[in-house]
Amino acid sequence: MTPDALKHLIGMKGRPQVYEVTRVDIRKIADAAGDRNPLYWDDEYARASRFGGMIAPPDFFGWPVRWEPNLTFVNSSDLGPVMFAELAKAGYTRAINAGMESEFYRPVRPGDTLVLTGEIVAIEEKEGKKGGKMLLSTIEITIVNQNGDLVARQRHNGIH
Amino acid sequence: MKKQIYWEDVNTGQEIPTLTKIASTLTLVKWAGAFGDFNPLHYENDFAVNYMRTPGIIVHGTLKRQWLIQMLTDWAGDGGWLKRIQTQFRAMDYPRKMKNLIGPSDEGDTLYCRGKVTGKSVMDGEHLVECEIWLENSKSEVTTSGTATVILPSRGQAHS
Repeated sequence: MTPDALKHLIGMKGRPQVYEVTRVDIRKIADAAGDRNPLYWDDEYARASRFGGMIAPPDFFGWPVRWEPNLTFVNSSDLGPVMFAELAKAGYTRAINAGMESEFYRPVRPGDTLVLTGEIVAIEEKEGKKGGKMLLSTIEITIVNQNGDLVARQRHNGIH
Repeated sequence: MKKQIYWEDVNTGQEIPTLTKIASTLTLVKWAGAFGDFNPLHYENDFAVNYMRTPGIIVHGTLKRQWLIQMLTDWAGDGGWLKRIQTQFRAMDYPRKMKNLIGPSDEGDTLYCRGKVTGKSVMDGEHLVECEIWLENSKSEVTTSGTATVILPSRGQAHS
């Protein structure tokens, strides 16, 4: 269950982040991953495919959501730091990445403008395996394109 | 285009073709730039050892996830669609040093993305395949694991 002191965090939303997808972004990501899928590299091939043109690899928006001055470490949502600070106040000072889940609904294409909005959807206190209490947190990020269509959802799970 | 795999061709227990990857320092710098994760943990050894207290520079978890995604999209082909992926980072992986300007050293780890079909179903007209996925190092230790759902085309469907 959610500790009373942390209930106010449930439903808290982050500032929507806007990300304009370019061909260069897509190719940089595909190249860095060593992915030679012609859907990302060969325009003629991509046009003839069922997608009708170049698309981005799944989870392309995983983290690179907004390029800003002095970028060092991009968070997929500004909610993380806010949540960590509140959890620390309640005595939960650690933050361990417990995994991530994504669901993909539509392809991402060059020229798309994606809006990513994070929301704290769960904070649950559990008994730890070695005794003591631990806290599980989930931030859900909803990704919508310029047409208002749902593109993807991500859930970032943390252990505190 | 590669030969398309169909839902009917896939059986529970079947292995997904392994995708083999080598991470070099160059790979990690490219990923940092493309993805926007400039944590020095992934490119400066002294910082990694002295500040982050890891044995050395480590491979980005997000890159390992992207490799597992590539294994799945390579397998599913253009007619398939990655619907869901969930991953958890279990252990660190380390990059190879550079042998020359472009190539990694012959010494060091090779990473293997692997997967197995765990179930099949049809839901809301979608032909789904459930998979277990993982990434192994040269010592056969699983350093990332997860599950995925892939939609494959069906031979029974009119395929555009």
